[in-house]
Order: sequence, then C-alpha cells, then structure tokens
Amino acid sequence: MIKLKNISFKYDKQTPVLKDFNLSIKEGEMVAIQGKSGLGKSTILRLIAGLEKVDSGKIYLDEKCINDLPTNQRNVGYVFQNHALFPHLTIRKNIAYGLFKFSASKRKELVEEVSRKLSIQELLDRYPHEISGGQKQRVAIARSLVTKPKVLLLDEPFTGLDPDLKKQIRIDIKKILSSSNITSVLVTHDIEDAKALGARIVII
Amino acid sequence: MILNFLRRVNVKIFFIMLGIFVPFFILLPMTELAVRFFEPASIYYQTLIENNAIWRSVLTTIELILKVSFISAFIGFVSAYIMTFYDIKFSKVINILLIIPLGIPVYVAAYTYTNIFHFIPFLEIILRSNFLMSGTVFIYSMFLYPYVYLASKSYLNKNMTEFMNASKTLGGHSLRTFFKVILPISRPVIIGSVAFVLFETLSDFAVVEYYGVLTLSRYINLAWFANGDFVSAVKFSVYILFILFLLLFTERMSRGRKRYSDAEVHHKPIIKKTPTLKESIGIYSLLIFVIGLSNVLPIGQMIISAFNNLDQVENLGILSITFNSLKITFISIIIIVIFALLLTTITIYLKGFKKNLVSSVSTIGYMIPSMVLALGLYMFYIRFDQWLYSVFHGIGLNRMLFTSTLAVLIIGFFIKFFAIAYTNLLSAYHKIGINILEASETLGENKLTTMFRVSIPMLKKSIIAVSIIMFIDMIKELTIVYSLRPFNFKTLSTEVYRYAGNEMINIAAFPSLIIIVLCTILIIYLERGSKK
Repeated sequence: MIKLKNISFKYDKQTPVLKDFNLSIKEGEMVAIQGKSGLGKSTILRLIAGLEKVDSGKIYLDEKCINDLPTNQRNVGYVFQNHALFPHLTIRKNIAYGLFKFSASKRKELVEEVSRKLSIQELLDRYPHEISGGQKQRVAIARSLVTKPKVLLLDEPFTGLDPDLKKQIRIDIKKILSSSNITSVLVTHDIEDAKALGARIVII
Repeated sequence: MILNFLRRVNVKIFFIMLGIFVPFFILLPMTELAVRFFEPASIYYQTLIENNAIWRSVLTTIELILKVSFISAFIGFVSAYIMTFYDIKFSKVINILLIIPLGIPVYVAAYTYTNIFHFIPFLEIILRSNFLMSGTVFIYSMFLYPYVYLASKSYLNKNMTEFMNASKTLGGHSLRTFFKVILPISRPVIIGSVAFVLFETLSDFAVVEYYGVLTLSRYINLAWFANGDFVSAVKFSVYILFILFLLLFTERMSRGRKRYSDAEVHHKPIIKKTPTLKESIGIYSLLIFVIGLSNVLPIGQMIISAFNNLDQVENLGILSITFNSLKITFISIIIIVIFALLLTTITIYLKGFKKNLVSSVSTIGYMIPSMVLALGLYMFYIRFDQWLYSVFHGIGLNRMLFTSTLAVLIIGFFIKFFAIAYTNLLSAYHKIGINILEASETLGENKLTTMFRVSIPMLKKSIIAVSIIMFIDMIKELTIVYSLRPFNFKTLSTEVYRYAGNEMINIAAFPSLIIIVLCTILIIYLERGSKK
C-alpha cells in the first residue's frame, strides 16, 4: 500500500507544485492521476520514487515511511516518459540491469521469463535505437517489472504514440498489469487513457 | 554601396569556387607528404632503422599517447563529474582554476617545473619516474586535461539525468551508476576530447626535447632542423599520422552497433548533491592536488622568477616580440573568420556527401600534428616558389616569394586553426536555423547579402567566442611559428623556447607570464560569457 500524507513540494523558490496533497492506494490497485500539464502529476511519481525530496508531509510504502530512503533502496519500478533505455546496452542487458544481486544463470532465467511475458524475446540482442517506439515501451515495462517492484510508476506512457499504436499499448499495459497483480500509478493528461485501463481516476 | 555591389554578384559561381578552393588549399600541402614519402631513404634514416631506433620511437610514441590519454581522461572526467553533480563551495572559482591550464603552454610548464624541482626534490623523484617517462606524461596530462574537463562537463550537464534516474530506480547505487551508465554513455565525448589532447601532444616537440624522450615528433624535429633531411622527416610524419588514424579507427570500430545517446530522451536539469564528509575529503583532496600542480605551483614559480629578473626585460625586447605575436595572431584570426563565415554559409545549404566532404577536408588541419603540418607546408611552398621563379623570373620575381615569409606562417595558422572557427560557426548557424536565411532570400537578398544582413549580426557572439579560442591557441603555438617563421622573426613563444633551451629559464619566465596572463583573462571572459 502507498500513502501520501499532506505532501507539499516546490521546485526552487517558485510557487508550490503540490500543497497538502493526499493519496492512498491499496495493494494491487491501479490508479491513474489525470490533469493538465504543469499541475504536478509527474512530480507525484518522482516523489514516490525518491527522485525528488518532499518539502513536508510523509510518504508510506507498506506502512513504512520512506521519506529518507534513497531511490535505489525503495524497490519502485519507474517507466519514464521517453523510456530512458540505456543506449549503450542491448535490450537483454537493459532488462538485466537491475538484477545485479542475482547469479548470472538466475539473471538469464528472469530476463527470458519477462521477455516471454511481454513478447519481446526476438528483441533481446538488439540495441534501443534498433527497435520501434511501441517496442521500447514494452522493454521499459519489462525492465521495471523484472526486479519485482512493490509499485510500478508509469509517466505518460501514451505520449507521442499514433492513435492505432496507442490503442494497442493501452491493451498491452492493461493485460500486463492485471496479470502481474502489481500496484501501479500512472500519470496521463488524457482521461480516455485512464478509462481504457479501468483504473481508479484521481484528478488534480 | 557594398551591399548593392554584392547583390549583383553571381553568388552561385562565387560559392562553388570558394567551396572547392578552401578545402583544396588546406589539403594541398599534405599532398607533398604523400609524394615525398616514397622517395629513397637517406643514410640517416637507414642508420636509425639498423639500430632499431625508429621501432623504439614508434613504441615510445604509442606508450606516451596511451598514458597521456588515460591520465588526462581520468583527471578531466572525474573533475567534470564532481563539478556537475556535487554542490561544492567556491565552485565558480574552482571551475575557472580547472580551465586555466589551457592558457599555459606545455613547453612553459615543462621549463617551469625544472625550477620547482629545485625547491621540492621529492616531487622530482615521483614526476620524473620511468612510468611518467621522465615527466613528459605528467606535463602533457596536467596541462591538457582541460580539453576533457570542458567537453565532459558540458555533456554531463545536458545528457545524463534521466539515465541516472533510471539506474537509481533499478536499484543502482552511485558507483554502479557511474561505472555502468555515466562512464560508458560518456565514451564518445571522452574519446573526442582525448583526441584533442593527443593532437596537442603529438604537435609538440619542445617538451619531449627538453626531457630527452625520443618520440616520432622529436625525430621529425631532429631530421629537419639538425640534419636538413626532409625525406626522413616526411617518413616519420607519415608514421605519426598512421598511428593516429589507427587509434581512432580502432576505437570507432570497437563501438560496433552501439549508440551513446537517445534524442528522444529529454533530460531534466541536474539537482546537485551536497557531498558527505567522506566525499568532501576525497573531492577537495583531488581538486587541491590538480589545481595545485597545474596552476598554483607553475604560475607562482613563474611570477617569482619574472620579478627576480626584471632587469633582464630590456634585453628581451618584450614590446617588439609581443607586437609580433599579436600581429600574426590578429591577421590570421581576421582571415580565418572571413573564410569560415563564407564556407559555413555554403555548407549550411549542402547535403549528404558534399556536406561531409567539405566539412571533413576543411577541418582536417587541426588533426594533423603541427610539426607534420609545418613540414608539409614548408616543402610545398619551396616547390611552389621554385615553379614560380622558373616561370616568372624574367619579370624580376623574387626567388622566395612564400618560403620563410610571414605569408607561409599565416597559411600554417589558417590550416591548423580553421577547424575551430568553421565547426563552431557551423554549429551556431544550425542553431539559427535555415528558415531565417530562407526568409531573407524570399525578401530579395542573395546568400551573400543575407550573410551580411542576417547571419553576421546573429552570429556576432559566436564570432567573438571563436576569435578568442583561436587567439588562445595561436599565442601559445610554438611548433608552427618556430618552423615557418621568417629569419630572425621573434615572438613570445619562440623567445620562451630560445631562452629556456639555453638554460635561461628565469629569463623565459617574463614572456611566459605574458602568454599566460593574456590567455587567462580571455578564458575567464569566455567562461563567464558562456554562462550568460
């Protein structure tokens, strides 16, 4: 479970992006945060991931306050808006990046498993610049899911996709998230995205 | 009036001629090297072959450039990483101090360290060790690392945050993120800037001469000036070019299908981290070490030497040599900027193969070590003068119209430094965008008048910046000036070399200090300007 309690945040000395913001998400639930640009939707994800530090308020993950926990110890999966796949690594190495605590054989097994699940086996030996936008999206999700995070954060996963591909990706993401039974928070500016995924909608 | 005249010029023919002439002019002296390489070897060369001296020199050159590459990359990249990602005190001053070594010519640094060794003997034991090749590796690395520092800092600032965040969310701690993400993604910029360090290292002959290290550059110098043996000098030059080409080619091939950037990823501004106590100790120790050895010690030593020998200034003719340095520098800068503006105006409209060809050939001069370039130019213009004399001597033409004149020296500067103006102005042109130039053409101006009315006013800041960068490089330049200057033409750099080479290091301190002060002022101006 994730709980954001009275969160306030501002970049530099500007006006606050978030003020006394509250949100509670149950285990296995899918929540879509919807709103116009500049209202702090992505900031909420960055705060949960620890990429930004809250000015005040508390963030709980499984009842434990994680305000002071560094990003790499939060066990949170993050699918970036532009995927942020490492350009110098093959898809296989991108997916295996977070599995450094496992043995080589276990790493291989986990990568194969997640790539089967997301139907990207044939992409494993390619580089990010050699695959399409839709495929990058799947790889980015696979890279985040393979570490078995407690929560998956998706930042505008449908931005820049053409309508047909968008439709397909919506179906894919819905399928992947329900089969993984993972708590997930996604940010979108289009309410149709949220509806299509059947997520609980939070408007800010 | 001028604009009215230019409006009537046939711009197309003018630009086509210029687009062919400039690259051809740059490439021509190099053809001399290719032709002379196949001439029979001299006895001097054969003796060196028999003694295995050339083979040893090739290995020494490779050892030198590998060690200099590694150490300068380490110092430059780690400093850039610290300055980009950590919130440290006095960062503005430290940033300037890290760049200042660019204004200290390597030969000046080498001479100055001889004096420093007198006061700090243990430093001599370490820095003159075999590993550091009697001090040459230390001097080149310590005074050329700013190339890596500047390029890496700018790259890290713009291209890393999202990849670092991705690594963190996947559980990567700082060290893992550094070694698995930041360092490999920065490979192209590190290699690119290290290449500049290598061009400078291979261009220099004074430091290796001073420390007695027999690299190929040193052998060119010996063959040319000590033996008058051009053919051997050409053969050594071609070996240097071959080593350079082989290194860069191997590196490029080893990249395979990999890429190092993703244009789709938009990186967020960096939030600097406050270092922990442990990190602070490491960071400040490294910075004090680097700045101390590359700034404080050599400049301090030079100031002391200069003031202790103020009575010698009269003998130096300081005003006249400073004037000579400024004269060739300013004339060269003006000519280069004019031609660079014209050629970039053409290049921006070119596409594909033609664009690549013009760009590659026009910028090749910077990659050719100065000694090699000077040799090619010297031999080419001797041949050219002979030809001119044979054709025109009937009308009283001088036997040496170009050779050993300021003209060849300025041509040398042109070929060597044209790349700086061309690449920077081209990049500035791309930022303006072609649409604004096309708008001017739709309003009735041709490409030439558009250049005067639109491009030059918009590129004003870039023109000033490239002029300053060229000034810093030219005022320091020794190899080209020393090799191509007219008889008895003295500049700041040649006088530093002459006095220091004659064991009068203290007298060389004064002209050295003038070079450093001029360069430092301009570096500070440039760095503050780039921030704005």
